[in-house]
Amino acid sequence: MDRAHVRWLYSELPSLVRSGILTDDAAERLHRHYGEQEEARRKRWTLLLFGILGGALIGAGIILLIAHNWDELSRGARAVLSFAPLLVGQALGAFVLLRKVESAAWREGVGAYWALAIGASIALVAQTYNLAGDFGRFMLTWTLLGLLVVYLMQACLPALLYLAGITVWTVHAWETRHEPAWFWFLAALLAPYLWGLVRRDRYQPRVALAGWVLAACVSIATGLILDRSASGLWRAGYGLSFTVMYTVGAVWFDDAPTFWKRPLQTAGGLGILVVALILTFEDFWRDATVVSGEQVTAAGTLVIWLTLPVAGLCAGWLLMRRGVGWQAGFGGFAIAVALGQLIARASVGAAMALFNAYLLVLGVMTLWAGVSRARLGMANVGMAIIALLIVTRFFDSELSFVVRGLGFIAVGSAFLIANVALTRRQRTEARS
Amino acid sequence: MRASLPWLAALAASVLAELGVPTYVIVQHERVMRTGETFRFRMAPVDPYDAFRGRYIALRFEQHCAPVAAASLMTWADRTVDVPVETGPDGFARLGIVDGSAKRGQAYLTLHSPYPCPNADAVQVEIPFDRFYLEEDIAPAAELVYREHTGDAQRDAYASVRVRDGIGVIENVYIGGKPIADVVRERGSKRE
Repeated sequence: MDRAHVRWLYSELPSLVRSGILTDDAAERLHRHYGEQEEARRKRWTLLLFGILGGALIGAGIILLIAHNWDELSRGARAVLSFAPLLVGQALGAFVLLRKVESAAWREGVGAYWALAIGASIALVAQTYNLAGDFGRFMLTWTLLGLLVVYLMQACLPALLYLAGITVWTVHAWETRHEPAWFWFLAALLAPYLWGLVRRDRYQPRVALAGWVLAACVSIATGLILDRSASGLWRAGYGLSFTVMYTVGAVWFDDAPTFWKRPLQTAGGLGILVVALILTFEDFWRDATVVSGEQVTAAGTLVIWLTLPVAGLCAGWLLMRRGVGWQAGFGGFAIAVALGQLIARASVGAAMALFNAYLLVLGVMTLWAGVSRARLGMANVGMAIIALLIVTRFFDSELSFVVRGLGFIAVGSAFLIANVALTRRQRTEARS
Repeated sequence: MRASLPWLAALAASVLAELGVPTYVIVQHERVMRTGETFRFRMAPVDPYDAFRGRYIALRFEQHCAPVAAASLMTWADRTVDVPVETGPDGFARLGIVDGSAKRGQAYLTLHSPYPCPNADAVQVEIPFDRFYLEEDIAPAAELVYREHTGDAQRDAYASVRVRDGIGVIENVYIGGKPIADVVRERGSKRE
């Protein structure tokens, strides 16, 4: 059970006892049961944390020792040394698999160390023979060998290292004009592990952690992959990836108690806001009419732009079906991007206006949903969206200081009034 | 219990793969180091941006164009070529004429060639062994020595490289005939 749920249960116990539904004894026993569970859980987490920290620190320490590049060592000694950290990792891995497979702390700690040791051993060999080597190939070899550790140890930290590793590889592939789009294939190799995590318990912290890292890596990779393609395709890329991220998060993780356990929805939502906001500026539309860069074929471009409205409609439908129709505005981002691209060819001003309107609608819908459900946080998010839009426009436009000043005061007052009203309403509802 | 047969097989496979990668690299390069032909490559000054690397010195070679028949330059871009390596009359290595495949018994390097060299019937080649690792406390000083001895006043830096089957491995970097690490240490002891 989640900590927030336990806290809620504790707060309910006195009234349950008062109304005679539970006896004092039963309440006490419930308290003890969850209390003990909490205690055990904390112990388990401490152990896990130290396991991970220990494994990762030792792995990193060995890499640094190797980096000193001991001159006195002969090539033979270096060869033996380059295998040593790896052999230790493998021996520990075998030990965990045979004896400690139930202990998450062992699996995570050894997994982290093992994944780092693979890199250390390849790097030491490269150093011995002065191989400048190809950094991309080194990263690829390391991450792919590390992927085996993820599956063998069923450990989250090596999986996060893998995600970081393939992103570094993608950055390198982009810099050296290779094909960064292989990122998708490499990321897909981790999918069975992630799916296993989600299936077991989608609200476990591991899933949240992996979700945040995945969201960050996908956002970086999307930008790099589309950078060299037909101009303006980055809009399509972000339009698609953030919409998918938000919708997957909102539909499959909607029971998450805290926002940090909703990584896909939070990151996707933030991404949508940021991209929508920058699309209200003229600079980011300039490439809509100018054709430059390496071109995707006309058919390919068509497929990409047609995917957007379809994805937007699917997202909207899924969100409506889950009864969170007010969030359909976020799902509709993909449609707005496609529409914007279409009208930008005729008029960039109209496309900018479209995104101003989009943000306004998004803000109002979120605000309205927050007010009608008496949820202060949600209402504030809605107001923040509106405020952000207004502030941006004020700095952007050539209105006089007086008008801007009055505008800021109006937005600030609206914030305060709405917050006071909502807090009061919550209080009266709690009393009744 | 997860340690069933398939899991142990997976463990064995990943252990072998992980050991296989460094083993392959070691065997491949040891063979070059032991049986490859030795060449001395003249060094050129490095781009100061590249030089600032800390643990190793970045190397640049004087020759970075390989001659080629003019006709084949027309569509030249982004290729891997076998470049013959010869010893010139001055005793230093020079790149031979690229003509398809290398001949039997001839030393050659397999190099990436991005584009033709300007104003010559030659193609640009990327020499892959462009760094030389040193102990971290002498690497910065070695970088300075390297720069002094590849400048206009004094140019007596070279790398001795073993070449075999298209692969080149640096044995050592020499300044005026002495290994660079020794030169750095001698200077250090003189100062003390």
